[in-house]
Amino acid sequence: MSETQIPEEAPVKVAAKLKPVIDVRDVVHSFKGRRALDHVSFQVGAQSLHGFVGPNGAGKTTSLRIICTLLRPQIGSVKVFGHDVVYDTREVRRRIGFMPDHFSTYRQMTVFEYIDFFAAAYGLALKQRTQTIDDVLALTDMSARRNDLIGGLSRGMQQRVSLARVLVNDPQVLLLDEPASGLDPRARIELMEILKALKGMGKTIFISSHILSELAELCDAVTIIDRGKIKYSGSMHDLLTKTGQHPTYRLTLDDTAADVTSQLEQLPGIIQIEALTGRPEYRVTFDDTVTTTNALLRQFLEWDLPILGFAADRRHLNEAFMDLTERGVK
Amino acid sequence: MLHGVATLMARSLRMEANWLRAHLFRLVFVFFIYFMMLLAQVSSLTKGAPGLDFFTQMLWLNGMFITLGGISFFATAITEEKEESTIGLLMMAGISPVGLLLGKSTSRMIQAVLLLAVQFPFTLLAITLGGVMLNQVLAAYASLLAYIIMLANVALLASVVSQRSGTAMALTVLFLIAYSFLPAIGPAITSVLVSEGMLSGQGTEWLAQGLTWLSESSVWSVLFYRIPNSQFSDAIIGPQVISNLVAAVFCFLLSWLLFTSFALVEDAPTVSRGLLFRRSGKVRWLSASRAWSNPFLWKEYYFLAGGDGLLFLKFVLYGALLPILLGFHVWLQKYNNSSYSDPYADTPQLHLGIMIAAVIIEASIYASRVFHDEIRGQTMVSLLTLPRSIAEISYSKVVGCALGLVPALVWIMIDIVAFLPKGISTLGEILVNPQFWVMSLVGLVFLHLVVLLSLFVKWGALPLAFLCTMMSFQCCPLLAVGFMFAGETDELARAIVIGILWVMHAVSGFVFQMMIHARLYELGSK
Ligand SMILES: Nc1ncnc2c1ncn2[C@@H]1O[C@H](COP(=O)(O)OP(=O)(O)O)[C@@H](O)[C@H]1O
Ligand SMILES: [Mg+2]
Repeated sequence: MSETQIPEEAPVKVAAKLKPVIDVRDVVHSFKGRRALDHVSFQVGAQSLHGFVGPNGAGKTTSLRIICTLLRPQIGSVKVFGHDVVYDTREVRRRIGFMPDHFSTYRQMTVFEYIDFFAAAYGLALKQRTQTIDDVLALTDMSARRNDLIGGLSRGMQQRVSLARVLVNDPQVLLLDEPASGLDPRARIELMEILKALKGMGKTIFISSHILSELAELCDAVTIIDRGKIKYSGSMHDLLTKTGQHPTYRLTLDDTAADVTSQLEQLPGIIQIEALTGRPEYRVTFDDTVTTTNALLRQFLEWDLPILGFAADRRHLNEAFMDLTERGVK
Repeated sequence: MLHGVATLMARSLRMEANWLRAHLFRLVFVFFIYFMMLLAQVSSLTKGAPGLDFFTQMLWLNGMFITLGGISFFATAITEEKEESTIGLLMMAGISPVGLLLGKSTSRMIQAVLLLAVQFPFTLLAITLGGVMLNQVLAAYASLLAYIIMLANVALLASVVSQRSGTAMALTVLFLIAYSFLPAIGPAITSVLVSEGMLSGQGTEWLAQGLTWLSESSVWSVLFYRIPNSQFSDAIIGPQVISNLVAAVFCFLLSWLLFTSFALVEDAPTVSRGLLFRRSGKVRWLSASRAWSNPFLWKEYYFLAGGDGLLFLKFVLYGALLPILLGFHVWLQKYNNSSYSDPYADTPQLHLGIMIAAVIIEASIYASRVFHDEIRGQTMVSLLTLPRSIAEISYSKVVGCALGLVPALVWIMIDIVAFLPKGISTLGEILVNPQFWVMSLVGLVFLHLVVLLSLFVKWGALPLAFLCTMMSFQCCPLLAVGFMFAGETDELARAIVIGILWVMHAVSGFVFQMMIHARLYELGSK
């Protein structure tokens, strides 16, 4: 049977069958006898924004360096688009853009010269380069600064220049090592906006961070690593709902509201109510097999509570992360 | 305050001294001295006073090494902190200016003095070899010590007033040129001035007095003329020691005085591009062109060698040296009325010599920076993730640097072809002379060594490479013997020796390249 005869749902099936873009298999890497990576395996799916989270020293940078061919895995194999990082180094390098965790820019060059240098280094012809540089500078919103010296730019802008450099060979997969660290909140948000736009363009983005909640909204998949061991690798949604923890929501009331802690504790399915000091705000942990957010909300309305907000609690995510990474201590 | 100084000093000392490499370095240094003694012993079979031989070699080596090493070692003491904008932090930690000066500069001075101390016992042994007296040894070390202290403090002053390490080093070099050459050419200039009638009576006396004083304060005249003299009977602490120490104290006090007004100026980290203008600026023709299809070559040409503007400037300046030298030559000759030299024949020769020196110096500077700058800027990673091999990138970079040598090379050609009598035939003779090629190979191996060392040490790869090369010449008698035989008339012996030298250098060059390659890869994964 030829493939053209497959009915409509075919695209979905094909997508599911797509090979992972990055395939890390059983990688072990030691520095002077100390294991930095201990049998690490995970996959990054095509066109996903994949977070790579772990505390400092967990092995994120080491993993990224192996994936981008700077470091050879001592045991195990890593494939990018099916190309082995050790044997097919050039093929891998052509397809990836790696942004290290420090600024790797020439301070004495202008933004334009810097991007031009790398465009030429990737073998782009002069004509093609002009267009490409315009494109990447527009994408990273650096067009107005093209003639500024890189050494005189702010950190956020230098980071965007680094990102523009990484994009210059139109890589299908971006590897970003803690791109948000050291940036002010505004620059952080701008960076995340650019990443979303890039994802929309069909690129696979693998981004490391030591803060899970920073990536929670952005990423659709996440891998958590701690002390060289993978603690979790899968969809972000699953992590939020299936970590064995009960959902925690934050109920925010108007300032005028009286204390409702005891009232809330009476509700069916409630496991814990934590009143935040100083304001009428509660962390509501409930058993989602007994009750639902809708049922709770209905009850609150019935009591005529002056509700300002009722939303998933961010701290839950951090606790999930702490829980996953701390298990290794015991 | 004292606590802060002690901490800072302890920190810099620990960082530099407790470092295995530093110990290793000192060990190698001692071994080297030991070897030189052995050589002196061997040469005593043919010559009279091996002790004196060894001793003068030691003095020469120390003088060169302190000078070369001191420039980068001492002059970066404060600029290093400025470039990393850490001075403010140190001040906030409660360290006063004088504490900072002591902590940063004096600890480095102690390092240098230690190097002198480890060799002292060996040099004392020179006395037993004969030909040297204890007072000569003591006087020599006192004089070297004073020189180190002066150099360290002069460089410290340069480091305080400059914003960047390069400027501080340049200032120190300028001082050293004045310090070394003024006493030598001073008398000639005075005699000219007197016979020209520009100077008379009191003025002459003062100038002569000043020059005598200058030459007495020069470490070179003490080390190379006074001390090796077998009739040496001067005081151990001579005028050179005293004057150098006074200069040191003066420079230190001045550094202290100027520190607040110079070092504390909060300056946005400036980025210097030399003569390379931006495309948006007014001087567009001096801006970098679009990246060439070999961008590595392009980058080194514009951003290390300085691009069209600097090349043009160098060409003009090197050229201007020719008439200046000629004028000076003619002028001097008019008053020395010596007829044995012909300015019109000698000047191009002198110019040629200077141009060759310029090529060597420029090449060494490029070699010490071509990869070192990438490491300092942490930019090696982005080069190593390109779909290009390390070899391709490295050789392109080297060629890009070599473009910076073009002005000096062009003047060498002009000197030979246009100005030197029988220049072309001499050039032909030189080009077929195997010894010339051996020397060129030595130069190439030296440049490799500079690059290699620049991948390991934070600063001072150049003097270190110089020292290593000198050491290998000294320690490897085969090389020295080979050079002696390379000038031999026996064709066969000559061919064999030169063949051996060729192979030796080619092999070491190759090994260095492999090591550079491995180190670059290693640095990329750090
Ligand atoms: N070049 C190296 N030499 C020795 N140890 C290293 C080197 N690079 C990383 N390590 C060690 O490997 C572990 C993982 O480091 P890294 O991958 O940089 O962590 P992360 O990026 O998650 O903070 C750490 O314990 C670190 O000390
Ligand atoms: Mg890291």
